[in-house]
Amino acid sequence: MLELKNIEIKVSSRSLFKLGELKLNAGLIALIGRNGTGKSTFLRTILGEHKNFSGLIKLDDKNLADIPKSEMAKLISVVYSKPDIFGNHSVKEVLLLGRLPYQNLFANTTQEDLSEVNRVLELLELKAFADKQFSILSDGEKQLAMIGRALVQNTPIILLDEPGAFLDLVNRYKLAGILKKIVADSNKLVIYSTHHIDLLENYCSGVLLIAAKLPQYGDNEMKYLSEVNQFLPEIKRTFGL
Amino acid sequence: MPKNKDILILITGLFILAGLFFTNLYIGDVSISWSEIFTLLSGGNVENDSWSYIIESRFNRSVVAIFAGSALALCGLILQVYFRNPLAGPGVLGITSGASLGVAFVVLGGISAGTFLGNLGIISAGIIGAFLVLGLLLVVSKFIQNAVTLLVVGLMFGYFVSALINILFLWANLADTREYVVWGLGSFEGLQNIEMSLFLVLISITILFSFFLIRPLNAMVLGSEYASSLGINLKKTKFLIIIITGVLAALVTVYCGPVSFIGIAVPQLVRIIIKSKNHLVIIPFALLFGAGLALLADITVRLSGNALPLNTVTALIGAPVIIYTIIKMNSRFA
Repeated sequence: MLELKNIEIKVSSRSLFKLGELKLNAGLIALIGRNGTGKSTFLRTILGEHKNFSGLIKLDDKNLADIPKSEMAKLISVVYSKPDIFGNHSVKEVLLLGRLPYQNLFANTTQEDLSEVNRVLELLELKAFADKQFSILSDGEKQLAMIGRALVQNTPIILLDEPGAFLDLVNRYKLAGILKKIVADSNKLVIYSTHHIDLLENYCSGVLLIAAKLPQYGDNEMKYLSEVNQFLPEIKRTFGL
Repeated sequence: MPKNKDILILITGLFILAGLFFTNLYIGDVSISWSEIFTLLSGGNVENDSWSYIIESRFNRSVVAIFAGSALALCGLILQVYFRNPLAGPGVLGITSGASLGVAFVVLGGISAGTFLGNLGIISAGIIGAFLVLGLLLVVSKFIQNAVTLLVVGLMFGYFVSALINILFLWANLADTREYVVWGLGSFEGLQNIEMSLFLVLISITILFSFFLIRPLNAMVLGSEYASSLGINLKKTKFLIIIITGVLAALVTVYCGPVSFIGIAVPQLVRIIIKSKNHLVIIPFALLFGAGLALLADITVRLSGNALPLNTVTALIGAPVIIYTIIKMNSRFA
């Protein structure tokens, strides 16, 4: 699904980290790294938003640079950490926004759009919230709605940039459970950045670890861990804990 | 897909707009009966020849009010969604101030309105002024990705330009200063013939272009990062938004003065009253409500015997609407 080769991600002339070769297929992958080592930049690079990198990125065997923006919206959907909307949208209307890549110039809602929204409302058990106003929900409920919006976009890949940053302990476990369910249900590649390593072993199939030797940058690298029992020891060893 | 209730509101709104339009033709110092008004509108003759001029002037200012109100409301709607701030409006990007600067240059420089060349000079200068600020904004926006920062830059442009206008006052004589101040009070009066056709055509074309913004605006409520991930081209959107709001705000400001509050208040009213979240529906409602509010303001101005300036009336109507929405917003959104 996602293929990376000889990647070096940079910010202006500074190198953030390097990555040799990696092929990711369906699964729940955690992205771990210290503040400022480039987790968000990595996600933005896959999204095609951050263009300052060398190497090859392929999505479904297509070169990232050759994929037009309108196509990209059907391949990758995102969830950011702070859910926030301008306007008095209901949860259902927020989810409906995920259908935008499939709509014409006038953004008319089709029957297909509505059935897709209903499918996701059921999957995430959001039916009871459907007509509630988004802005009065709790942070946990809001984030769930934003994940629903990403699911409605119906992409093979979902990227989440610290989706649990504003969630309490229980909601974080719930979130991880939902992500795991999504992967099992629909065979998607879900990558989420996080600082909470306690959930990794039970929920994730792989870990992308930015092994940074702070404070000096330069020869940092991104490692891929696929052995579940290696997740915690390797992370702790890398960070010197 | 418009909801049924929205369609009902649209039809009611159109009837109210028509009612306001004919009210504005009827009221005035010279009382002309309905049958005579309709005879004149359908091209017939009535006893008193001068009445045709009176009706024409009432008709023209009503049409100008409808178009100016629509344009300002659309500007406000686009800017509020783009900046995700309910207090954004055509005045905030400094475009209105830019147009004012152009007008100030010509008027305070001693060229008088009323003569054809004078009018042409004022109009061109106003549009040049607006686009000067617009050009600057486009240049600055290349370096600024954040919409709120751009908003602040626009505000600063506005303050800077106002300061320049104050400096111009130092050199102007009393008559020119008065002329500028009167323009600054705002009015839908005085447009006719070629000027009016130009005004209407340019505004209509620009409004049509706003339909390219339906999808971007729908997505922008989530913020620019999300909009981009939904396939919206942010650069193109920003360019289109600056051009559309710039042209509309400049045209209205040059012809009618820096009309305040309609641009900020109308989108908020629409958001309260209309259920749909699709800008395919929201844009027409903003146009309709903007036209209605502008006509209502003009009627109020004329009922006061033209004693009340337009900007006083729009502030009287607009400010309470804005305060009401802010209170409502705090109890619901915060």
